[in-house]
Amino acid sequence: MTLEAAPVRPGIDPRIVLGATLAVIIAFLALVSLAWTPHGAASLTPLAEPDAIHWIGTDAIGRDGTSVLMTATLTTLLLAVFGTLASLFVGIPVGAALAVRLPPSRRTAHVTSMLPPALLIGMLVSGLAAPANLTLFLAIALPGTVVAATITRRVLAPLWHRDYVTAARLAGLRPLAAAQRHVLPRLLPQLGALGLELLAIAILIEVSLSFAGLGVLPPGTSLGLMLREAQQFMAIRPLLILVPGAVAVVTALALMLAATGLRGARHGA
Amino acid sequence: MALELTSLGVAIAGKHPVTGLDLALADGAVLAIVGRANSGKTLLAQAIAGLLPAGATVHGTGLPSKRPGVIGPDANPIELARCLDRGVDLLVCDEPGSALTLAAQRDLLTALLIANRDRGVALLILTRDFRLPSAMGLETAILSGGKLVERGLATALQERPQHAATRELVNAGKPRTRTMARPPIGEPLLELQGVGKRIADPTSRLWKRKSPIAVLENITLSVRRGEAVGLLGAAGAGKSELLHLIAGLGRVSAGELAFDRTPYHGDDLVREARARISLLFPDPHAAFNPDLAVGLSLTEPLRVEEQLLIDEQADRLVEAVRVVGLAPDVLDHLPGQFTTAELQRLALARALVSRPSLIILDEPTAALDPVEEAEFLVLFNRVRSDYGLTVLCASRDFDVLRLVADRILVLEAGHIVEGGKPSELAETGHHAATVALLAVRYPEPLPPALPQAPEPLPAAPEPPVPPEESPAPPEEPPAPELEHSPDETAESRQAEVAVTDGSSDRAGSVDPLDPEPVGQADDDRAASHVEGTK
Repeated sequence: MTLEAAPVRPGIDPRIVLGATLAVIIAFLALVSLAWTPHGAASLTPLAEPDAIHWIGTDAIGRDGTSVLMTATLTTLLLAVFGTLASLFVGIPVGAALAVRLPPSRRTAHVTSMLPPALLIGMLVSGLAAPANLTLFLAIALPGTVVAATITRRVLAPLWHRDYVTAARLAGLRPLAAAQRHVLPRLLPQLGALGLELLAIAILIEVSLSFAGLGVLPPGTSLGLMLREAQQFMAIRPLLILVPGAVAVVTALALMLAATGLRGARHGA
Repeated sequence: MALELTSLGVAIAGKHPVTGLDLALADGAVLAIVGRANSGKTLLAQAIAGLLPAGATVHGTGLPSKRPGVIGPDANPIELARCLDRGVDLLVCDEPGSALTLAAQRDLLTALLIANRDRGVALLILTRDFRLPSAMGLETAILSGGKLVERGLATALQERPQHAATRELVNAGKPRTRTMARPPIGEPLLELQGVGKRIADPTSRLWKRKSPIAVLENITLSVRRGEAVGLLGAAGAGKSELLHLIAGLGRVSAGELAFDRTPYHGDDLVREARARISLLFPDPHAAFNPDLAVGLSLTEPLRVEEQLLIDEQADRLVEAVRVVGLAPDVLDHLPGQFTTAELQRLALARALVSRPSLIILDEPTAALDPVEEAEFLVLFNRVRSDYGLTVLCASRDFDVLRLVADRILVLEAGHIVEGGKPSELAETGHHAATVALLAVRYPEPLPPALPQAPEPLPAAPEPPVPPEESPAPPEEPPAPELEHSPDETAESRQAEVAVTDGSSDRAGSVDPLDPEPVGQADDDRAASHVEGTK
């Protein structure tokens, strides 16, 4: 065994800073829409060109594009956040219980993508004429719970079954106390990364399902719905589709970047 | 020449583990290089094999142009066969087979010797255990301070070591036993009655249920106060499971345990009793939280005793660290800053802070090299006497138990199959498992190849070569160690060990552990006296 010098605690990983800043800015702008938008819901010239007043133009029924964008972003984010929170709330305890009682072996399956199951669930549930919010919630929360449980189990199991945790329990510490002292510092960044990634995927699920017409429907707005409505006018008003798409993608990427930074971070960094 | 290195130096991360090393190895010759842990053996092996990690630089001449075969700690004979198929002239073996079971390692070493004898492949064996070249009768070089400091036949080095490093390695196999008298034995402290443990078969499926596997079956034993009981068993025999149950982790499926007359079944061990039982793990690096200073880890057992004041806790910590031979200011360091041997001492200190009555050791020296192992066991014996501890020690290595235990129980596949004092067991142990565990660890030098050997690995056993009796050829599929009768085992062990000091020559000398020294039954061997080692 080589002798190491005492590890120097680095500053916070720049990826976390960058990703979190971007995501927070976008979320803030979305929240602002609750109080104020550039032009309210007043009907103006439909499909106007972008100019100094209407930064990205107006949509097919004359609403200011920027205002709709802000409201749409808020809707998307809220749906994504609720679905993700439900996934974490159910999935993490299940995963933790499995990690302790039934640790994963090398043959345990890996969950690779949430998107196909989400689309299928979206199609099924919306086909049952369920309200849009419920469709999206289930499409996000059901696969999300499975992913959260699987990843929690995979991350927690090696940490729990270490000898030093056993030593703490043999010394008389109750399992929760031993976990808090020895497991949590390394576990929390991983769970944080899990949450952020689920959130990013949830945004993309909402965009996909609403674009397909299975999610938010008019008169509501969401990023996916904006894409759906602006698609036919893509040749003449590209900004109407590019900007909402960019917002969705940038938000998702920012969250994933922050998640990667968290995952690679040492405890306490 | 198979290998001719001149002034070889290897640098990595600003350090120079190997400097100015000269090494000449003739074609078809065998050389063992013995060095302590961290003496640069692995880097040397990697340099010769051309497999240095990124960031390492090498200078010097003589590195082989044709890539030699490499045999590592977890290599098996199949990898050896692949190397031989490739047609190598030199095999570089870095602790060959040390990660395998003892029997598998012996088979691998035998296969290496056969490859050398029948195909003329040169062997370079790097190891930290001097007993390996000593048992196999090899020429040996000592690696210390980055260069080879001494070279000669293993027996010659053993009898007349010149360099300090040689002396240290040679003496590693001969620690002094029992530096102090044992405390008196009292009433039973720990009793197990019919203990059994079953676990679900991990390969059973919903559609193909399998019955549970019995990890432990009908274990009945009792450990008296002040006694040291050893558990000898191969990997997978159930030693760790049993020790964890005794320490209060998990639950038995059958039977009952009793500590100080308080019955329990595993994790229903009462908190007060938990403070009086301590457990040591095989790998000290896994036993300490790498993010916590060791001082914090050491105080963990004291959390159970709430009535201790902070001052008393600090006193106990300092005392425990001093007892194991370390300075109290190491308490602020992280586990990664210690060597494995120091960490195992700290683990022992952690086991002692709660002033236990019973200390359980789970393969305590598995991660240590022979020199560190000897030092640790000597330290442990002293600590045991000073504190009057009761000891339960599990190991795969009989030599470790011979130093530590008054009484040994042999565990095989969850059953206790045999028991007795170490000397009795060595002489008269007859269960197949016992014999396998006591068997010689390293193969002896091979007899010269018969002139009409048709192929390198004959399937049929060779007839014994008269007049000396030779061990059965190791190619035989049944475990070769069973061919050795117990007295042959003792004989070969004695042949390797020099007498430690003159006093052991006295026929009347009595070692409290060994009232009947091994070998005295045979007139031929009356002169020599095995003193706690091989």
